[in-house]
Amino acid sequence: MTVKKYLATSINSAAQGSSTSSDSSWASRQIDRFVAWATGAYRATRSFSLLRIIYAVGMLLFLIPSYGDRAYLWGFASTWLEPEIKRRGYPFFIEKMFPKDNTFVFDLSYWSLIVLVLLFLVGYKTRFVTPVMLLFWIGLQSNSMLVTNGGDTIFRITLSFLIFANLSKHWSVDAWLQKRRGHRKSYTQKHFPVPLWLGAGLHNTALMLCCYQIMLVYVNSGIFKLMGKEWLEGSALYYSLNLDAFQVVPLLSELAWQITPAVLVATWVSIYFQLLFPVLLLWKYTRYLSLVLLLGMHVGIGFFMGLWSFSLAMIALDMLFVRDSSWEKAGNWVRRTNPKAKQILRSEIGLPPVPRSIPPRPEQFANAGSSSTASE
Amino acid sequence: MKRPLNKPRIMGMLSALAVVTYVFVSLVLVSPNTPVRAAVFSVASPYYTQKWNVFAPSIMKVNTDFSFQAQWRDANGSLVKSEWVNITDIEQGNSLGNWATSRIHKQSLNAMGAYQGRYNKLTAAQKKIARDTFIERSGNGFQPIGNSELIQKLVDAGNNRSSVISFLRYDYMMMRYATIFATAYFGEDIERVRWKAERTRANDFEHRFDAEQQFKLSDLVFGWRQSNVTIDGAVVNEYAGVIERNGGKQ
Repeated sequence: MTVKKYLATSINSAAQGSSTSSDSSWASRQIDRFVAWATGAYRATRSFSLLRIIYAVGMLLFLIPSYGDRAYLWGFASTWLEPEIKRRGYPFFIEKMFPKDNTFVFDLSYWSLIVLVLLFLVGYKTRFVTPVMLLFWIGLQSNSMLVTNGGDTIFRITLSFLIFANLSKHWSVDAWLQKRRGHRKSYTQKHFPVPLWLGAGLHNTALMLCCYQIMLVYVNSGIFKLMGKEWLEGSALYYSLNLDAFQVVPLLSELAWQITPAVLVATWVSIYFQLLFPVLLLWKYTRYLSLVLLLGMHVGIGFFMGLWSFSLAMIALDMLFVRDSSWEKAGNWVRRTNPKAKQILRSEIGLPPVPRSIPPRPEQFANAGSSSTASE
Repeated sequence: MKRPLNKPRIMGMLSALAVVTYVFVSLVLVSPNTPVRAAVFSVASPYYTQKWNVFAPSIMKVNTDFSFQAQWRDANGSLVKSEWVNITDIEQGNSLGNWATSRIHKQSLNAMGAYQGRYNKLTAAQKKIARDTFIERSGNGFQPIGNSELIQKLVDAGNNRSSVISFLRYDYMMMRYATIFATAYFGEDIERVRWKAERTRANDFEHRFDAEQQFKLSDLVFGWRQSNVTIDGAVVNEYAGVIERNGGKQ
């Protein structure tokens, strides 16, 4: 059943069930629509699965390059930070997860966190892994206030919402295991069944909170930028490209700021598209335009300034505004165009073209038929 | 006629309540300081604290590095003064050309940024004291000025006790950081350290293509501090490893 059909039947049944359509007020109908949307199905499951993968990559880009410096940044060699750290007010069990006075436990925790992020990446036992990973993530972050950035803050805040979301419906080991099990239920599904209204309700609440969080980041940041002289005159990007700490490849940054129109346009785009983001989301085409531009902005931040974990966190959250039906349309388009693309690719590398007369396999029909309903 | 409350409707209401609550909490947290913010902050901190004013409203224009100088006694008991050592340069030694760099490249940079932030909250008279030495003569030798005496001296110059305490706390941390780093760097028994914010900035946008450097910023130098740290060999080795991994001594 599609989302539209679901909404239609749900609203109709609600309207017919306890009151007639005439005495059903506008507000009441909106509440019904909201309840049907919030509890009737798991929304944005593909975007959430993509978010899981992008978040994991972002967290690994934090953990692995810093592995050699872990003791210096968070471990026994970072005790000089204690007077400030102790004032932050994390519960003692969080502070004890990465103890500075026990190297073995600290290293064990660091490794555990890497393993948990890898499990999160492949989507294995995601329901269990997500909250545990979050605890370890906060535990590590609580050991220093000097080496985090906005991306780490986004991971910390949104992961607390995401423990209620289904992040592994697609592209995950969990999904693969579920597919292999077929109609048979797992132990958890058999003994602790979660009704749709509860599971979907929690999942969609997480979706709303994450979407709100990204809007807050954009609008709040946009308001601050609107108050800055350099942002309004269009020169802010020039200054940020000239900061030593954010020059990954100084030559690239030097080249970039010398293209004056690019500096002006990128600065203004970053203010106005951030500021107007909630409004641009209202229409399909402006939504996709703003998503493409903001995606470009974050790739640029990662590429020129090296802030990949921040960029990846923002890109992952931006993707939540892409509906499952849009992902399906894109998937169908790729599937339709794939044979042609294959032909082109094969001829490019000198292989003989794929004969056009090969009949499609039966499972392709089966997939095509089920894909439109799978996530709805 | 009212609709009966079924489970999905209750879930929908709880869902809306959760969103509305978070919207309220987060908006208060990112708003300017008010009594309401203080109350919400005490509940939501540190987990949901957030601020999104990075690079805004005023864009960062100045590069601020953390450099230190150390003193130790030679075999004759005379004080030896080192050259300035730029910790930020060392910590960023491996970050150039590296898109997946260790977070080490942010540590001293952010430490100096936070320290300067607290220094800037002091009055002009307090800043003068902060830039002076915190060491005094004692008999034939020297000793650090006592905490209560130092606090009183600073408070007398500005009457903002919380800013003074906050600055001195960070000052103490910087002394420990610089002392351990100096011990690992010079391999000596460090007696005193001092540090400076080494500042450079690019030309203004209007003068971006000028060959001549527009700004020559003076460094912000702080006075000598008595090194008051119990040195742990393992910690010093870790710092020495950091120096080695990031390109060695300057």
